[in-house]
Amino acid sequence: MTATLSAGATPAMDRLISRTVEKHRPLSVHFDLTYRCNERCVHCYLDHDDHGELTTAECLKVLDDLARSGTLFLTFSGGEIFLRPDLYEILAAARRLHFDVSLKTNALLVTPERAARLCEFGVRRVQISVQRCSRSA
Amino acid sequence: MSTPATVFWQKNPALAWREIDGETVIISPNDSVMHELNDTGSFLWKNIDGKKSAVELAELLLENYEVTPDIALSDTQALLEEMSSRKLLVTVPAIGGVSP
Repeated sequence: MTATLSAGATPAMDRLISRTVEKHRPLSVHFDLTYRCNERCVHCYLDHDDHGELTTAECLKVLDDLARSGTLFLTFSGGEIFLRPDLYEILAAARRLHFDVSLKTNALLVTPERAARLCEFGVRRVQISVQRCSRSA
Repeated sequence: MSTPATVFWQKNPALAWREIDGETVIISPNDSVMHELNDTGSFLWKNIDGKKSAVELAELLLENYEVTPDIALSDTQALLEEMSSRKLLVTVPAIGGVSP
């Protein structure tokens, strides 16, 4: 009997993916919190209209279910996630459940104060799309 | 083991982790390194709660696995030290407070 701890990057991740695929575990989940957006990008695949969205309680229930199912990597996206007033409540729940959290945002609503709060919630990665069609855009 | 016997062990609260089918995967956020614990390591990880010393954790290992007391303690201490060196654990003095 030996308790072991190993660390690595690609080989370890490959093993983890193989193991979770074999056992039908949703290791990585992309969770769209809203359709709503503060932009109207012509290339976007969403129509930006409000089609309704899960309540806070429903979102937290989904997070509980995902944690029990074995999800580790969790990406919150939308729509624009900062349009949800309960975003921090959702992020706090994700932190309590030990997810590895990433965000996708257009960052137009991100202030220094909001960025600092993201750090408090242990958000590991923020992906920001920057597109333009001209030098002046 | 260099850590005083009076300290308790606690998971680094900044970590992301999940137990998946008996094995635990841990992501350290600062360097994005993935760490893996086997079944025995996962058992210890589950019981690391900021309220147990290395000796108490080794006693739990002894109760649940076929292992001698000496090996249970040395394995537990070795794992705790290794995880501490990778900043996956912090120690908590018995009188309160957290030390890195």
